[in-house]
Amino acid sequence: MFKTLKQIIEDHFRYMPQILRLAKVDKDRAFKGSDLGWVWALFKPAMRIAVYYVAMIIGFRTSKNMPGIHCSYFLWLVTGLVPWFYMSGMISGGASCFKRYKGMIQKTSFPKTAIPTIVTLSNFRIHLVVFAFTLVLYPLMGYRPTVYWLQLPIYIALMLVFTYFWSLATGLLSVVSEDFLNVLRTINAAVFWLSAILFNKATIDNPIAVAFFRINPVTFIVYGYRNSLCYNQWIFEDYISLIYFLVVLLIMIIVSTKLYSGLRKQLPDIL
Amino acid sequence: MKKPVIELRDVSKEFKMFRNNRDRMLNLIFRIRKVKDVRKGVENLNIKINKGENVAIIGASGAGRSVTAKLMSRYLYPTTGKVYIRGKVTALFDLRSGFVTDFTGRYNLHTQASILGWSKEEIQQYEQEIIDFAELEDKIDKPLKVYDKGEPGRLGFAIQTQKKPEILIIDNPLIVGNYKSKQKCLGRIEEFRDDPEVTLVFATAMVNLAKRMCSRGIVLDEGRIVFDGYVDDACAFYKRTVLPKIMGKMEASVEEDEEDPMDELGGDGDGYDDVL
Repeated sequence: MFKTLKQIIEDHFRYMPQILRLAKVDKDRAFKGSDLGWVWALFKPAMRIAVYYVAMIIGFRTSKNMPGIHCSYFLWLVTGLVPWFYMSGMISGGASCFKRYKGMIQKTSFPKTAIPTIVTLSNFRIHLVVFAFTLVLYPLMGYRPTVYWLQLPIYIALMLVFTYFWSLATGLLSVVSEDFLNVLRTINAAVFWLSAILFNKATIDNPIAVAFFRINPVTFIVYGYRNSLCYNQWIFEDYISLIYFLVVLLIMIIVSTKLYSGLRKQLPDIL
Repeated sequence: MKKPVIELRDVSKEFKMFRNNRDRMLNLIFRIRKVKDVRKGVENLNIKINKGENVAIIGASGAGRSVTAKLMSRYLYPTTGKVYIRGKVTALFDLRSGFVTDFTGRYNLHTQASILGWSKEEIQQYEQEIIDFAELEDKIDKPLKVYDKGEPGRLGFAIQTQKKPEILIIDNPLIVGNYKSKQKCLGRIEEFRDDPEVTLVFATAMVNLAKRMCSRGIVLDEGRIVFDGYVDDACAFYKRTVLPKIMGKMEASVEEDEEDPMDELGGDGDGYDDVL
């Protein structure tokens, strides 16, 4: 495991300019041919946020007055949805990274460990733009930045590291089995509803649900963003959630590095 | 005595075939054996190539030529044995790797050069030379999808051979474009061939091309080395012994002509043949 981790770090240091370039190309390709281009990156999440907001307020009649939050319900909702949009893109997008770049694996010496990073950074670029807009909304709606915003880079870094190892593990398994990729695409919607994004997890007292929220990395990241922007809570104040997340992350790192060391030499053959 | 720059020691490569992906997963992850068949790529290869040598790997389709070239390039890993590569490899397998047809030639040039590890300064320094070599001055800022057949490959060739390689491995004659372009591309490879600092490995089934480009020939048949020596002798052995076996009782019709080996690549000088 440590040998693989060392290789991952070395590959990233050596090939970072190429990785950044390819991440840019990856996203440029998504918008090529479209006159609106990058505007779609904002329009799509904006539409989804609007639909969820209307559904929650009018359909589910969720109270706009949520206890404990230092912002409006709308901002609370947006703050939770923005990291979810990135993570949901990575659940299946990250899993198909090796298939998308199979040409590079088969015919170039580009390091395989860097391929999940291309997809991670490509999606992260969009996330940064959308998140920047979210941050701008706060002062526009009368909520000034607080010192708790300073911990956002920690949550962002944890999110990136998790999605990288997730992509590495699921990308390898998806190469071996198309069914696995289909399963991930199917569970995407389930993960959304089981991550307490549209409702406040503090209002849920079912022990199974509470336990699931604890081990669900999506919930940790979503509420990390919310703790920083809405709840004014430091990361160490909910140390139990942090410990659970770190344990899940460690398991993900062990699984992905084991899979990689076992499959890396056979990857070109399989592809 | 210096070590060879390319060394294959008892290298074999097998490809496992499975009935379906489930069996492959069971085998790869849980080590439950469900292999339907094993296809041999190459078997017991022992090859040493010294710095500055020019070696042709000659063999018909399925002989293990491409597998050998990919093993040397580290694109494939051996099933058994060891591969030692002592130098930086430039492998010309896919001239269009990294290209996106919606983007301009210049954008793709920058992307592929980036993948190859060039700095921004190097890209700026070599950009015009590459465009001149590929003869794409008037098209470089147009999307690749409007290029004629062979032109993207020409651009890729120009990029990948712009810098002098330490070890150059070519699988099949990746010479693209019309007759004039092909001569230009082969001319560049010949410059590398004549440079004692460059080691050239040329995997091909075209004997005249092998004789033109290389001084040593290794003949493969059914994944095994059957001849290793001077290229003229290797080509003669190949035509005399291996080809007839492949073609059955028909006489090998490959002629030992004195004409330019470029003719083998097809094209009469007017067409654009993308020989990949």
